[in-house]
Amino acid sequence: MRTLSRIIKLTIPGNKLLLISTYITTFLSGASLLLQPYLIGTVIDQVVDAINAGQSIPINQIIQSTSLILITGLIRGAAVYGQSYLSEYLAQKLAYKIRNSFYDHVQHMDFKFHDEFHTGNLMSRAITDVEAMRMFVIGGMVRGPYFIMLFVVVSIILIYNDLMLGIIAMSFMPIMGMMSSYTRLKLSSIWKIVQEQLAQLSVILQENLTGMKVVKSFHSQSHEVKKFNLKSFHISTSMIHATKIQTRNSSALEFLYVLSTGLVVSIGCYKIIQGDLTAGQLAQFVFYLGVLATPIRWIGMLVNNIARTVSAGTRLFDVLDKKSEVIEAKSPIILNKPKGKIEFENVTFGYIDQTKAIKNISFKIEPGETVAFLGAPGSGKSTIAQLIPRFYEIIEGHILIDGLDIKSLDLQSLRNNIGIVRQSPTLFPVSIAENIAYQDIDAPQHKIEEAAKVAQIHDYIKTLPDSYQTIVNEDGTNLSGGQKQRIMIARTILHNPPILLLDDSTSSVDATTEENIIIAMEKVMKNRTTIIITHRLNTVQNADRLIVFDDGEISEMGTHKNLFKNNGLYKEIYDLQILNEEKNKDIIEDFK
Amino acid sequence: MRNFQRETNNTSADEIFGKVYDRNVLKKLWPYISRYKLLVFLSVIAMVTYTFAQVSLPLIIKHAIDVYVETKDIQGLQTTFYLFVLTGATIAVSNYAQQYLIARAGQKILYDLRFDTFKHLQKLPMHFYNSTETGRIMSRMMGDVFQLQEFLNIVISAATDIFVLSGIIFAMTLISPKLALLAMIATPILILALVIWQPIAIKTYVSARKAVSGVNSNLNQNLTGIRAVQSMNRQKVNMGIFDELNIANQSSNNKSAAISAVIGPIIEVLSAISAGLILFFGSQMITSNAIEIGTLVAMILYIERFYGPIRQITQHYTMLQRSMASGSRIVELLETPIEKQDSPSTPNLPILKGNLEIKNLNYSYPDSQQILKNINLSIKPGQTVALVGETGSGKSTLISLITRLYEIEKEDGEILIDGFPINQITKQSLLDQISIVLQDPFLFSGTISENIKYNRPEMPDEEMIIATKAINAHQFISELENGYQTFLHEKGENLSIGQRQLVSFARAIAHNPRLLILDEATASIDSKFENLIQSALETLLKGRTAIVIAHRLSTIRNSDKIVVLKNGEIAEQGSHDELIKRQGIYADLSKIHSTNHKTS
Repeated sequence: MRTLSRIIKLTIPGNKLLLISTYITTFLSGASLLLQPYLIGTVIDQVVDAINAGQSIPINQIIQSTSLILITGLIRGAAVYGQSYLSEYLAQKLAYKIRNSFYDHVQHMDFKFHDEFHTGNLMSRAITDVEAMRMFVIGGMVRGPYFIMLFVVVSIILIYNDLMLGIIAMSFMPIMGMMSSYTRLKLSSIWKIVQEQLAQLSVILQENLTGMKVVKSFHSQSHEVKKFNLKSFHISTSMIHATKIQTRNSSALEFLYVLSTGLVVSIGCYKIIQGDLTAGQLAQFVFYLGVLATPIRWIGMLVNNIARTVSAGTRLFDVLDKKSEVIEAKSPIILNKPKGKIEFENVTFGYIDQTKAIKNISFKIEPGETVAFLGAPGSGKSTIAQLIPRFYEIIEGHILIDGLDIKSLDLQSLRNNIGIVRQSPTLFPVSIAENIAYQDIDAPQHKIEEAAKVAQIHDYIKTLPDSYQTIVNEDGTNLSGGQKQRIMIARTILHNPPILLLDDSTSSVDATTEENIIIAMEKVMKNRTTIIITHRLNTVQNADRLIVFDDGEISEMGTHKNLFKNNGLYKEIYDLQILNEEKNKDIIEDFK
Repeated sequence: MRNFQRETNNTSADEIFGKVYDRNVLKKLWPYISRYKLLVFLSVIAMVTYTFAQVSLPLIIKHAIDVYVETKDIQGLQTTFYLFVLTGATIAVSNYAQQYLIARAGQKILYDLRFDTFKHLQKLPMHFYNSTETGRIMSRMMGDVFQLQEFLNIVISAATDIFVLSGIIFAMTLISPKLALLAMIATPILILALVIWQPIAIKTYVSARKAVSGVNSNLNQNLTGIRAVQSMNRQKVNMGIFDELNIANQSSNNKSAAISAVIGPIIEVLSAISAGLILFFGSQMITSNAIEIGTLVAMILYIERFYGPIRQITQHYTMLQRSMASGSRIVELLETPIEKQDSPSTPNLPILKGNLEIKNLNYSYPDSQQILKNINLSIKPGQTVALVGETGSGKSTLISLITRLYEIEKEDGEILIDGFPINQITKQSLLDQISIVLQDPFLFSGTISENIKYNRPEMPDEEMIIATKAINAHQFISELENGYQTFLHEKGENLSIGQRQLVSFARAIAHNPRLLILDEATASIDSKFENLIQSALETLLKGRTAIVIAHRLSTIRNSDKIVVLKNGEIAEQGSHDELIKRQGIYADLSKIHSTNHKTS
């Protein structure tokens, strides 16, 4: 209920006038709908009375009544139009509002949140759950009161007209309503199962498509077809099951509806014979029963609609209520062109509360220094890079830039001064030029090209048919890993940040490309504080200092020479990677 | 195979709506329907019964009012009630039968269609997958096939509507031809309105759909790149872009609502006009005794049901167009040519000794330059051969040809395995004896055990454990909470990349291949796992023929033969020592590697 009232509260502000006009048109369309059976009944009674009295039909009265029917028809037409347009308009406004606040909220959430909620998960909330809200406004908020009104008014009219017939006609309604609600609830649980089965089927399909090379290499097509068919069969079975339940209900409804009409007609006719009822009244009864047919079906739909809305709303608000752990200081200091000194003072951090990825780490990096972070995957070296731009909130300790605690800094200014080149390049489906100028939107073309030249990608871009205006594919398939990486580097060069973080930025490219990228990077690293995170030794030759991480702690720190002498973890890694190559070198040198 | 055309992620009009009648589509899909002819036929019979019962209800009411009330026949009124019960029961039963039968037929058809489409996908050549986005195929299978589900439903409901409509016209004419004519007098107006309205409605609907997909794809981009967005402080700019799209979406949906809401009111007004006309003229006909009261009531009941079906038919028309569009996309997929299939007479490859002979092999991908040029290579049983060369030099293509991922034609040259041309033996017998480990250790969602036993679920556990022990993977797997029964999520994301590669190695070894192919199998893992694998490799390669693509000199150095590829040609081949002596490309490559690692 809290979810529903929250949705309603979201819909009302700023829309009072719209909401009122929606309800006015809705009730107007209801009123004109209810007037018609009455008018028809009146005409019939006028005719019957005239015949019974042996008079000629009162043509004026009939003209009056039939023109009233036409007028109510026109009013109803206009009102129905207003109702359906305005309720959609209202629903779209709500959807717009929710989408915007969802987008804005999610954009500002820390990385912990994004680790937990993946893109697909958030997308499904933004698409299906927002759609459920929209349906609620139309089906629940607007039609709900409308159908309730129809129901109440028709019951009153019928019972007022003839107590017994009224009670007979209405007595079926609660049964029908309960049946529909029960069926809808049952169906929605089946639909959940179907959704789950569909998801499983799509996983199998997806895996087969992305892993087709493996499937073909193992010649396991028939194995895969078997797997797929089993799931596919389950889906068919559940769907047939769902239809059975749905149709069982709709058939029963139809039967009860005909039965109640039958009772009303035969008892009504008996009453006419007895003189207790007029033909016009009976006609009214039959027509009013017709009016009720839609609201009855709607009860089931409403139950379903509300169940969906509540679960969708809960899922949406769940996201919207999540608070980012990274909170900007009340009056933040704006970091302006820092020298680039980075200090860690007893920093402790964990992605999940219990296990600590970083344990009480302290180090200092001087402005302009290039430091390489080494260590096995999971040793904490990449985590540190995520902490400096404050993507995650640390548990203990302080991180200082130019002596200022990053918690006291304006987030935007902090991140503005840090350039990051990641292992997996992120390009957006806009032009290459826009990708390079993603952060510096106003950069002129010649600056973009300069940056691309330094990043050694300009020549390649020039060979493309649309040059810098080439659009990067949605999935980035029109560029190789090395090309994307160099576009990322161009982006960083253009932005020109005083602090540079290179997170395993060359691991996904082959040796020759790596060479090229390293050459490009050397120019960029000059006069900047640079942190290189890597597990390949050949990328650290330019580092002034090395910090070796092991299990969330610093195991060694110093220059290559010092560490080499230390005979510690670094020496071990070094030996492991270099040993064979050193041998080769010896062999080669032997030949010389 | 990269294409630089701007992807049209916006669905265009003809992608959403197809022709209503597409002969090719129907021809291709007819066999699926005709298999369940009986179900469909019974469903149609049920539908006819249902319509008949529905249309007869007002007639029963008319009879009660005009005959039994007139003659004060209370017995007759009882009969009326029984008739209602009977008709109600008929309606209920026929409704159930019709819906159930058609759903059953529909689901069976869909099942068959999914089965055939998936089977077809498995038979499509690798080229197809290189040039087709996964998402596109996914939407064929998950979107279009399910959209077709609508097809039968629509055809049946459209038929029902037409039937009901003719039934009503017939019944009205039966009880009063004059009033029937009056009742239908407004129909041409409705039809005219519908004809004008439909194309406009479709246009606005399509643009609303485009707007929604624009909003969603922007959101998707932003979420996928959220880490980059935040580190570059693009939130504000992106919010502005999103807001624009969101507003555009809102307004085009409102436009679409404004158009689509037009027909409802027209029908309301027209049925009021019809009712008014019937009442006005009907009441005069009653006084002249041409008709009775009951007729008037029945006529009005018919009017109320008359316009609904007309409106629905137009809705069905649109839906039919959409299913047709889906149908034609599925047919297009089903008509994509498949790769050559083994014929029953194709001989099996006997137990592989491992003699591989490549003669004058040339190969190019469709619409692409030549990848392999005049390759001559012979590999002896038990030999380990390393393929060396830059990206794009043809190493992976060569391997793909040996595993028949791509088929070679006669004019491309020959690949002989133990003397058999590889395209003249069954794929099954060839690939059963070859295992390949790729750079990307692709795992399926399922348990580790299922992944290792892949394609041979009947493999005993002992065999699997022998394999994992052989590559030093047993220990880490047993240390997992659920051991071999640990469930891997999609792509095995709950394992580290090194662990995944070990599992994929185990998968290759467990199938006890006679020929082992390693395609950059250790490139993406860190040294800890690489060492585990390296130390295992020596034992694994013993007694097997192996082809190894690697960038690590240590792996390459120990091979019996090194083949250096350059621009699709074999530039050098020989042992490590021979090639170093020769001072060619290989010797240069070795130098780069060593100097790279030289420290300052």
